[in-house]
Amino acid sequence: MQAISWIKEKEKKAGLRVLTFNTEGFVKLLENAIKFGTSILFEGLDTELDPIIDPVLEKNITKEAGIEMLTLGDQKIEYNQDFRMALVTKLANPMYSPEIFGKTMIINFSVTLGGLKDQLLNQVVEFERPELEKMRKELIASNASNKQEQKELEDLLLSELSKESDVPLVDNEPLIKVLGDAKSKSIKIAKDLEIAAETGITIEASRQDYTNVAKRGAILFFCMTGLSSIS
Amino acid sequence: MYEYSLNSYNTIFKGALETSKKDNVLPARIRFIIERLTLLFYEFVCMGIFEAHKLTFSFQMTTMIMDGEGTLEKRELDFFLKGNTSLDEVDKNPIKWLDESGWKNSYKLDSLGGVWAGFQENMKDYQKKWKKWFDEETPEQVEMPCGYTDKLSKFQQMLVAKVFRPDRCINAIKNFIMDKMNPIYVSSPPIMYDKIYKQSTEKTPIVFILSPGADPQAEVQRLADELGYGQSKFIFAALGQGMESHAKAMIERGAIRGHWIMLNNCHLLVKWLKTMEAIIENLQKPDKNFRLWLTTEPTDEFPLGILQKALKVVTEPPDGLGANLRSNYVRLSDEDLEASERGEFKQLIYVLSFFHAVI
Repeated sequence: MQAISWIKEKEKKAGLRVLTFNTEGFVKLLENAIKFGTSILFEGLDTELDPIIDPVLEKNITKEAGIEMLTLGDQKIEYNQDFRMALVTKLANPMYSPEIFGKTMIINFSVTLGGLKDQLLNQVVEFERPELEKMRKELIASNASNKQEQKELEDLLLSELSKESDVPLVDNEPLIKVLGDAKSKSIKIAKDLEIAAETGITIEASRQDYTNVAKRGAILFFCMTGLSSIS
Repeated sequence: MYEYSLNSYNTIFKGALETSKKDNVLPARIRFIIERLTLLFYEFVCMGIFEAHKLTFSFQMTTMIMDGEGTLEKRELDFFLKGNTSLDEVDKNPIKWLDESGWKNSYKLDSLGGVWAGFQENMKDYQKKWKKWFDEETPEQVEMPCGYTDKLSKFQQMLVAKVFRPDRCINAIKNFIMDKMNPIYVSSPPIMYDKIYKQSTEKTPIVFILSPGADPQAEVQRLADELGYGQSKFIFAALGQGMESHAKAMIERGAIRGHWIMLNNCHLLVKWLKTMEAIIENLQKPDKNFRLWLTTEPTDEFPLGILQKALKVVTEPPDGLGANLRSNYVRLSDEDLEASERGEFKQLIYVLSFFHAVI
């Protein structure tokens, strides 16, 4: 699930299409994606892949008059290097043939006890103490932007210092001003970050009250998935 | 057939948060949530598994919860599940009435240390007392010799049953679960069709896993009548060869018009189910009233996509007289019971359901 939403988010700009092997006319859509360099996501895979995508997995690319071409089915299409394809299966322990393992890059995104616990904790806190969860999310966002700013300042400092100039460093008033600005800003950011860290600790402490719920929740889920080994 | 998705679990989790009792005191509230969650979860899973697996599931759940709390002694659990697995020769069994595997197991139990140290010696020394306990019909309800009932937890008492009376292990497990969790977790909740309906949506098919003699169609039909999906809105067919296109048309039409569609015996057309998965996936905005009911015998080939999404219901006559009686009674409303002024009416109902439960 998370993998899918992550890919969807990440590839949104690349014009992602979500398909299954059951989607009508998926071959046509795949062709278009290869041609225009957009992204494709195949959902709900079984242990067998539709052999029609084999040339794509194998990257059977030939060069014709300097243009990269791929043969898909009985058609030759131009291969755009921006093309990306992801395949997602719901199987917990899929048994793919060695060829598929060889041709693809398999990433295990299955949920772990710890991961699920964190996720459920977010859910509980969001339901029980929405203000806390909101605060936490804002904190994460502001932390990120502060850190970004800090980095930009550092870069600015370096680029200013490395600029060649006829005036000796100590007499370069504009430079000294920039440096002074940067210094005061970075002190402020450092302070902000410190405060944020403290608030983070208090929020985390309040969240910890709910860990028992999250823990029980995660355990129960794994109890349920274990049932598939019975039948 | 027992496949579940994180999505369906999330629904339970949210349901538990919403329906559990509120309390201003945080620890109490947390306890309520945990209790509610565990109960809803148990009911949800029990609905979709066979009677024979319910105790296993309940036991697994209990031990996993204990493991999470850190109160599970792994070596004891291991012994309970596997017994003595060593290949070493053991001394000759001095206790005549105890069988060989029980004697061998006692070695392993003795070696677990702690409260078990000297257990085997004790068995030999107080043979008479143990024999008396051994001969009980329901030893798990009788006090053990030498104060072991007080010394051992309910969990550890299962291990004693494992050595002496493997036939009573099931009851010992039940005792343990009742003690650790709640008696609810050893009984199977009766199937309530209206509850199933409430949990379903137009996008979640309902899959009945059949057991011999079960006929959910009659029940679904009754529910349909009750909720106003009479003859024209409730359409059913039994799958078989040559039914593919007909079934496809049924589903597609039903999704648009908001019918209830019931396809019986999906296992007879297992190859087509993949296509059906695609049909269901490709439904554009099904009507809110649309429901898809499927029945199938257990089969490995049932598409995973449907299974994970679907609400699974096992229809099986419940185990035991009490549960059977209960399942008869859940079908009766209070009004039904009060329908007659004569006092004998209720007694007659009771006798009738008792009769039903027995045969």
